[in-house]
Amino acid sequence: MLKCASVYTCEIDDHVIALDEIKSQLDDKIKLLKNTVGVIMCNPEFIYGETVEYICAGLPFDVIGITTSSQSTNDEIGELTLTLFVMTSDDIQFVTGVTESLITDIYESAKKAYETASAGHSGLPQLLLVFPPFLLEQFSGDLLVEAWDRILPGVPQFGSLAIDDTATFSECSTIYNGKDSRDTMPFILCYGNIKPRFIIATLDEVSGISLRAEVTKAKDNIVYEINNIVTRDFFMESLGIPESMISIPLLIDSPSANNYDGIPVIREQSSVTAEGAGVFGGNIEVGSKLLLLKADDESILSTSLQGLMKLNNMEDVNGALIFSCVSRRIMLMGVNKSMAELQLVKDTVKPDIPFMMGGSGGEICPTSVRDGVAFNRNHEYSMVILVV
Amino acid sequence: MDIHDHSNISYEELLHLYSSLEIENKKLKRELRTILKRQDINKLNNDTQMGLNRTILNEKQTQETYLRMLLVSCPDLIFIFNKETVFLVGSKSIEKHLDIDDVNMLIGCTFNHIVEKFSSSVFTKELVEQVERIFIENGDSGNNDNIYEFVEIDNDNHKFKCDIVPIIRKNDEFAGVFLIMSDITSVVRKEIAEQESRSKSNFLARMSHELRTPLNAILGMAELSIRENLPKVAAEYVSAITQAGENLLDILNDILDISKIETGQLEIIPEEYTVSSLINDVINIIKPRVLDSQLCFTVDINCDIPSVLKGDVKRIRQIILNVLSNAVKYTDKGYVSLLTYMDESSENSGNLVIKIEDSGKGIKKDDLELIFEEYTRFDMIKNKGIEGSGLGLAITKNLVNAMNGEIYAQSEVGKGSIFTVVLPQEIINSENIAQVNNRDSHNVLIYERREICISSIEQTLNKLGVRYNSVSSVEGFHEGLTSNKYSYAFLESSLFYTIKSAYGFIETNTTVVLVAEFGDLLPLRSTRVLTTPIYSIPTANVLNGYSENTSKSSAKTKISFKAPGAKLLVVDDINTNLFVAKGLMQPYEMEIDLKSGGAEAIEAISSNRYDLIFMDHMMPKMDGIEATAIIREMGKTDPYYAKVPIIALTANTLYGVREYFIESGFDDFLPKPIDIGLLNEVLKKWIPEELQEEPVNNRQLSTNNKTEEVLQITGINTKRGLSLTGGIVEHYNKTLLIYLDDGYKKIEEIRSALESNDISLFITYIHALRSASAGVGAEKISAAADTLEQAGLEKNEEYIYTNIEKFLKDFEALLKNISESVHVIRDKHNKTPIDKDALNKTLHKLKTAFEDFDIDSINKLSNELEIISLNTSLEEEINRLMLYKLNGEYDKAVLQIDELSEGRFS
Repeated sequence: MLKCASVYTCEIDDHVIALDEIKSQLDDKIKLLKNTVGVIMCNPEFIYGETVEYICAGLPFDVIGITTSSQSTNDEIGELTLTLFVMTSDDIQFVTGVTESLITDIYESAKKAYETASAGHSGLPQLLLVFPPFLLEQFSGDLLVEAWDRILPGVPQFGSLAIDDTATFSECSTIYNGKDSRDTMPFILCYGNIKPRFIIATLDEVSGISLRAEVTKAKDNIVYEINNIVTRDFFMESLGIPESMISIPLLIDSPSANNYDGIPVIREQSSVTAEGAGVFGGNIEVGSKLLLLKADDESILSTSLQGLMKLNNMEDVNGALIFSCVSRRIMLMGVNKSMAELQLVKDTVKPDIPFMMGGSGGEICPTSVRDGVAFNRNHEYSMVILVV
Repeated sequence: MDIHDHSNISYEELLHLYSSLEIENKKLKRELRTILKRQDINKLNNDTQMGLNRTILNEKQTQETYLRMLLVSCPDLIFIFNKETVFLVGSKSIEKHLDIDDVNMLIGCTFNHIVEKFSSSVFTKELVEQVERIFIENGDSGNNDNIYEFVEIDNDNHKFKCDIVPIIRKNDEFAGVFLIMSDITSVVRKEIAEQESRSKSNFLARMSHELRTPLNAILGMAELSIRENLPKVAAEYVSAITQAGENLLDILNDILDISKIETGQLEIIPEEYTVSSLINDVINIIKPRVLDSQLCFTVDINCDIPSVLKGDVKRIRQIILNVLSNAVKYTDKGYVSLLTYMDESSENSGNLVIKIEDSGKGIKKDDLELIFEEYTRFDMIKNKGIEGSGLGLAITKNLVNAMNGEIYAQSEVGKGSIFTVVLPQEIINSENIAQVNNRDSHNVLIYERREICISSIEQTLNKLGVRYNSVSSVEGFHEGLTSNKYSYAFLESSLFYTIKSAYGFIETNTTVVLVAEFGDLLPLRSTRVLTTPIYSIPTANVLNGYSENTSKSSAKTKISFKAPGAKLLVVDDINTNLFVAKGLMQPYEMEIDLKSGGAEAIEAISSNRYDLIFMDHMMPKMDGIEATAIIREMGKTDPYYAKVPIIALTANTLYGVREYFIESGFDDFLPKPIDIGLLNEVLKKWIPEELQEEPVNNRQLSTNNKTEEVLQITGINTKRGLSLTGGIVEHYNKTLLIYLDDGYKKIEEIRSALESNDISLFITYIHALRSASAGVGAEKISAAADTLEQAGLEKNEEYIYTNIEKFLKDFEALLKNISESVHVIRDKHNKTPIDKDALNKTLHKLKTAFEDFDIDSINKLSNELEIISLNTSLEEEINRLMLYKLNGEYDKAVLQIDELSEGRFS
């Protein structure tokens, strides 16, 4: 049996009040069982104010998570908010861990941390919740997914890259029991009677406009040239967009089209290197064609709504953890609807489904699970939902 | 507490105040940071959005431009309505059909408003109902594909294909309706026209078959009849039937040709052909028509035309014959002339030029432009009674055009016309069409009174580069003949008896060639002849020692082989056709089974192995196609059925028929009416080679299995004699023995008759001697006997008595020569033991052959009789039989066979 609850606080400065608010909401909503874990999402200000540290220290269970730009729960939506999604169960073990810095070697760091955390548990977990740091210039979400696939083959991965509310994403951190970090990756291994289900809502690939662009030089998530033109210059020429473009969803039509599963591969450029290369949220193959996707308020909100309706139509739902790409919100900000998706989620999800939704720097979720084997992928510009 | 009052504030209060301010400050700083962060994001966002908007705007403008271009240029009527039935946009083509100036006038109008106000004839009731239904049902068309498609005809008889497509958004929301109307009137008309054309072609194919099938019977029966020895009047009637049948066939072919032209099915099929065959064929065909018309027909063929060209010879023949026929038809008196030469433009190609001139009625200048049009005939009153479909020149012009040639006419009323045809041809063999071997060694003596003939002969000999000398008197001719200066003498055939009367038999080394009109009876049966019109090809043949009808390349003889071991099956549902086909194939001596239907044919082939099958195409119940398919299917279990050659017999000769039959499992086809030459070609091609034998007069047969050489006897052309007696040396030798034995008897009989002045008996004996001598190749004796016979018939006793002794002396000398060769013949002659069954069968067949006057069978069966060894009592009777045969006394030969067949032999 699994029980979930989502709680929040907006109190950044007064730690005591903040903790009291969290605890009292928890007392109202949930009776903690044998095993409990909390997933925390908050604005970086909560870290600067040391509120996170205080709250994590005051709770009787592990708390791990990430910074974000905004959240939505059953009771509140906001930008300067700290939210906590608590899962408690008698027959599910929640084992937490955290890697060392991922900058040196993602796989080795993750493997070492997993082995440490999973000591005493035989077999693979049924679910991995993972919260990587946002270091796209060093590695993309694809490499993280691949590393965990090697360590835990076939195990569903669900999580989000850390994000923040800056234009350059320079203040995002991961959180492990109150300790924040720029380059470590906390995680939760779920063993036992947990049956996760997944929903992905993303932009419609049919809306794609061809840019007549083909990637001609790239390595992993760094695209050096498009149509043999330096990436920065290409986008300036074709889209008239200055160097630091953000939130433009590009549909990637890659030659290998691996693991398509009916879910389009969407990437966005998050930054530009000094040499003019584009840093994307995921790997892009040489030879990939790029199409510009339609990402207006209508397309974003309608796709979110489709995902949320699927959630509402599911049965035996104890709770839902929702991550929505920060770019979706940024696009809504451009039309003065920055809170629209947050509100939509709060208004749509059924009141008896405890949920927490936060902005994401990269969504990790399986595209499908077939015969017990999960096909994990790093998404962008998507809303992903873990249903437990 | 008043913060401005600092006199009474405590330290704790101050600390609290500071703490509050600090918190306030933190919040403000945080707020400021948040605002600044948001500003940064907004700025980046704005830049991005501007770029995106620009891109999307450009794309939108591009799509709008494409849409506008589509709507302006699209011939279809396109209406786009929103879900409130309001017209949003449409194609420009709507303007024409709704009779409005600008399609934008409809913007904002509802569908029903448009229907009412601009109804015209475009919106039928059914269309309106269907569109309304979709609007009412919110896009539910009741159709799985969600497209409602039908064809309507408006009041102006335009045919539209209509597609009514509901516009459904992604969220299944009904957003409007596309109405697309495509004008398919021209497509439908084209389909109807094509259907009519197909029907016309099918009709023509059917008519072709329906008309050709009875024609095949008529012409085939006529051909068979001609082979019989008919009385003269009956022969003339049959000839007339043939002529009429061929005329009908010509008209039918003209009609079919013009239909082919109209339906684009006329095809030119170039193939290599010998020019001399083409010209000879044309002249042979046109000659009888000229003869009937009493016109003078001259031919001038340049000798240096290349001997082999490449072109559609069948169509070229048709072209020349069409123009020639017209010239003959429209010329009452005077002449028709044919001139042909080659205008070589390069080593490999040139223009074949054919000029046909006549002294006929001529054509008016205004009519000259129209003469090549269909069904055109001029001066119907003047030309009444002249037969023809009026299509000949139209077809000719189309054929010439199809060959990239040209045809034009020059004419003067009352004086005549000249038609010129120019046909580009590829040169295959540039060797001259006519040339005389060792021409410098030749010198020709000419005695002709007819100016046109003198002119033709001299012109021809000039072209051939042969010397000649013309004389104008009997004396001059006699002098020339006896001078031995000339290799050949061309003599007007009607002058023959004049010469004979004056000088009798003339000894000379000069070969006399009689110049005769086509159809003339010849005074001498065994001399060389040149029939008019005189032209280079036959003249060169004669001067080269061939008969005038030999062509330079291998001549296509009608019956070129026999195949007694071959077994054929002929299938046709019409008995007459079966009889005709069998009759036409009789000379090949094949075993022929006849069946009258496809089912019977399959039954026959199931129990017999045939070497070749002729299968009629159209038959009731099971036609040739179906029967052939079944036979080929049988090939899956027995390869014989897959490979046995099957030839389609068909009266359908439209374009593409060959390919159609090949695809249907046939190997070849033979058109009806059956042409003897084509039949020979087909048989030659498909009868296994090992079953083909040389014709009897070329076949060498030796009982010692060796090929014997024919004896050389002075005074006898033994090669000619061999060919006339069946071609078998042994049989010829035997014939010589009989001739020898009988010869002495004949001398006594002739002398006896003259002594008793019984000229009638004399004629009988000399006639028999003439025939026998000709039969063994004793040409001179035969010619001399012929002269004596003619003298007897003319009651010229003086000539007889004056010349008979010399004749008999010469004849005795000849018999002596034969006698000296006799011992060789007798030594070589071997007989095999008698086979009574074979003898009886052969005698029975020989009797039938004598009764049917079937010369070829007579010779063949006589040879067989020789092979069968006889005992001494029969040898004498067989010899007597051979003598009757040699003398042409077939009635006596039949009686002799009857005696032999009664079994009076052991």
